[in-house]
Amino acid sequence: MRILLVTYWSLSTIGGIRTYMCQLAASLRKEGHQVDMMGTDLADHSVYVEGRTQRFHKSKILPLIRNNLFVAPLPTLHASPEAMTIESDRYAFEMGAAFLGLDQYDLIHAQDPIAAVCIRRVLTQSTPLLVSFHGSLAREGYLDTRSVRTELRWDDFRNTTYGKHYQALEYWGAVSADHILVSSKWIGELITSTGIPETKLTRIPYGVDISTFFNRALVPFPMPKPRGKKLIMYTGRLEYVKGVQVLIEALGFLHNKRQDFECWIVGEGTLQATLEHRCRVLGIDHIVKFIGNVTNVPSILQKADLYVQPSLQDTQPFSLTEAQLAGIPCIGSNVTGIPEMIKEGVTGLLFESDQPASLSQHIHLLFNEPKLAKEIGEQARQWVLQHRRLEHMYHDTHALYTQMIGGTRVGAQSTQ
Amino acid sequence: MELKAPSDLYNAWFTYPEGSCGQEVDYLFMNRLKEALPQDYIIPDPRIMEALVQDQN
Repeated sequence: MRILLVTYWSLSTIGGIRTYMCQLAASLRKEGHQVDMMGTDLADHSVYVEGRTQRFHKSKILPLIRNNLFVAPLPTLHASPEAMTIESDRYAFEMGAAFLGLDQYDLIHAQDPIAAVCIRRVLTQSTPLLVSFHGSLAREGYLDTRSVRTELRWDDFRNTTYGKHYQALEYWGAVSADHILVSSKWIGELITSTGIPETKLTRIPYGVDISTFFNRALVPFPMPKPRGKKLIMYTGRLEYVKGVQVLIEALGFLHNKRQDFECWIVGEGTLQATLEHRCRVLGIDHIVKFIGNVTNVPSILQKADLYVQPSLQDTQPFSLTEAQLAGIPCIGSNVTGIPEMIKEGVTGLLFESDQPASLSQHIHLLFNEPKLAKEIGEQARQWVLQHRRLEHMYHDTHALYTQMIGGTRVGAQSTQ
Repeated sequence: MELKAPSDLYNAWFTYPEGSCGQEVDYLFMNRLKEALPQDYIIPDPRIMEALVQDQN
């Protein structure tokens, strides 16, 4: 098979989606399939296929698009700078995709709804188009906006041009594709709630390469664990949607109760300076370490006594799966896709989303109950070993590709 | 390759063509692009523009 994995977003800095694309591409290539990965390079604003020299520079067409949209009688679009920016840019993206060529593929697997809308608009052949919904674009846009407008409610946001634009792209992304792939029930239900039939969806959870994970975990992480202290860890992007600010507030509460812990924040993002400042204000900057990005997450996880996934919204965070596989007791927010990964009191603990006091109490509880912490860590590891293997993800995805290419009508499926 | 006049390109792509007044345009590149795009390709996307003016209930 000749497969194109394509994202509208940056190909190199999309966190868990990048991991997913690379894992899938590697598994397909191992079985002899040809896989290309297409996306945007933020360094020079070009659309490109990894490994090829030819690039489509958006700057060659974007001024013309902007100019023509700007003078068009579209006052609603003009009222939203966010919608105007994405709308102009995605036309340049789809022109780039067409320019680089789409005719040579047996199947195109879009990694986000914008890519699906774009590819459908420029496809000139009947190539099957699959779209993965790794998250909710509109709700992430809402949370981004709420980070600076804390009083904003979802019902208000969804009626703004920005909100309508993202919802329209999601809806038409789902309509444009021949089939939709999701990893969690939460995101699947979100899509069907817009009127997309369930029969158009297949659920295949993300997988982890178990042997690679354990081999990498054997490499010692060079930074020593703080002596005589329990270590809390978070790995992921430092963005509002990930809820790291909730974790920082929770650590402030916890520090009032006990001082026998440290926290390592692993990752980078736009919130880092704000979070560091908040740590200084709370007087916990000496026990919260911002480690930055690390190349070997399985190795650093070996140091942790407890892992926290404080997301305000998350479909199926890879970082939580990795922490569970490492056997670390995990606490996650009781929101969106996370409760599908944590069975309360069995494979982790759930706290009320966006409630730092609740999170602080849960951390305190697990520190005081080492037997419980050990049990849920081990039970979560066993659950991952049973339900989150990369070979399962590959097998089911390959079967879906084969059905789509063969022209078989693909009905609703769930592999878990 | 059949070279199109600039106005043919704009009239083909843009619902509300404004042209390229004051902008540098690589016409050879534009003609190659025209060949890669479907014949009915149009900017802006009418489905998305329609959604922007609808109420969300």
